[in-house]
Amino acid sequence: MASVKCPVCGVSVKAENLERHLRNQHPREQVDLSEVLSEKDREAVAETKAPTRAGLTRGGKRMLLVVGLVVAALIALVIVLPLLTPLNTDFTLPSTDGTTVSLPSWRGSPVLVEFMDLDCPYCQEEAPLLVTLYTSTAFNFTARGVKFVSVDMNFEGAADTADRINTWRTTTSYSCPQTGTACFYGSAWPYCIDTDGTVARNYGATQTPTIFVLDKNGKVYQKYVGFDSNAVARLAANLNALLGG
Amino acid sequence: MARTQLSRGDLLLLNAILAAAGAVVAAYLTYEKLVSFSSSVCDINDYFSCRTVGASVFSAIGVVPTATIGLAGFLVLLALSLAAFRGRERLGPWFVDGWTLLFAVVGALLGLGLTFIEVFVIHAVCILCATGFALDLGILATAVVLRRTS
Repeated sequence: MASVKCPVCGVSVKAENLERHLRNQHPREQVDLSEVLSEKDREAVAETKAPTRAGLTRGGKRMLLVVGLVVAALIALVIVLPLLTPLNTDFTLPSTDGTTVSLPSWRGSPVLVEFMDLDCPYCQEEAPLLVTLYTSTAFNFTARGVKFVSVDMNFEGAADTADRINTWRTTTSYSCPQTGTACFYGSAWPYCIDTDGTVARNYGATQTPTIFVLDKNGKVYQKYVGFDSNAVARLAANLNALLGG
Repeated sequence: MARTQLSRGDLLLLNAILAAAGAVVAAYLTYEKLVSFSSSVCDINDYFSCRTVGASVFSAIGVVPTATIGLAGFLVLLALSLAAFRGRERLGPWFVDGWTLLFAVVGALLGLGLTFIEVFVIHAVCILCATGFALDLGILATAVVLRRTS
């Protein structure tokens, strides 16, 4: 390998030894090797040199420690804490049919909570699927103790009121998937309006439709965001699993 | 004020820390996309909402979540940084620093594109995605410094 002159003291040094020479003989000098060695020499040096671990400076160690701690703290705050903290799924709200829905009183039953909005087209598509799930004699979920509740987030379009929701439930028709004729939503489970958005915030629901399946202790078993044409099968499987068969 | 001179090892380990943090963030976003049902401080309101961005069509390419691609990228950057820290200089035809720079540039371009889509198309910002983008920019900056000084 070619020899080069040390840019500090001028002695002739083999290219592969220049870095060590500078480190040992001129430790205080800042020399840019790329200016002294040609690309070819540097490649040759790289090939002959055994891999050595890059060193750390004292200031670098401090900086890395600070960066590491800050990053770890941020990750703990944003990711780990929410994962370890269970959602507060309990709520008590008046329903549009004049009763009160209180989730703590439904302990012991699996609960399906739907976050929806009357003006959300995907919720309108999903409603018949939930009706099928609710009324199906094959599943028989209501008799088996499963509770359903829809929470209107008043998310978009016209303001949703109790009257508007009740009218929609009983008079708005859709094309019934089984018969192809006009069917009504006819959803008999309670509907609540989340006026101040507290319930949606507690659940972390930011869009409609979003469905939570809660187990008998009120803990989230599964969550589905958005419309899914296969919702009946998926939700039925979840509820059957929670009912133990 | 005295200016601290960082060594190549400092910068490589800094890159490794940033890449590891990016991998954790991307892994969490993948988890959020696929199975999550926890609340997140990432959902501050309708505009700053990871869930809104995660529910958009841009959050996956086919069946692969975009975050998974980010996870793969950060793991490659982590491996490159650790390899360079342990003394490896070349990988195939290029120096390891060159590969790091290439992956950091690709990651930054993807991050820039996704941030643009969040702001102007989805009209919602995912803070964790933005954090991943910022981490990649940090890696890019140190990769540039490493490339210039190597």
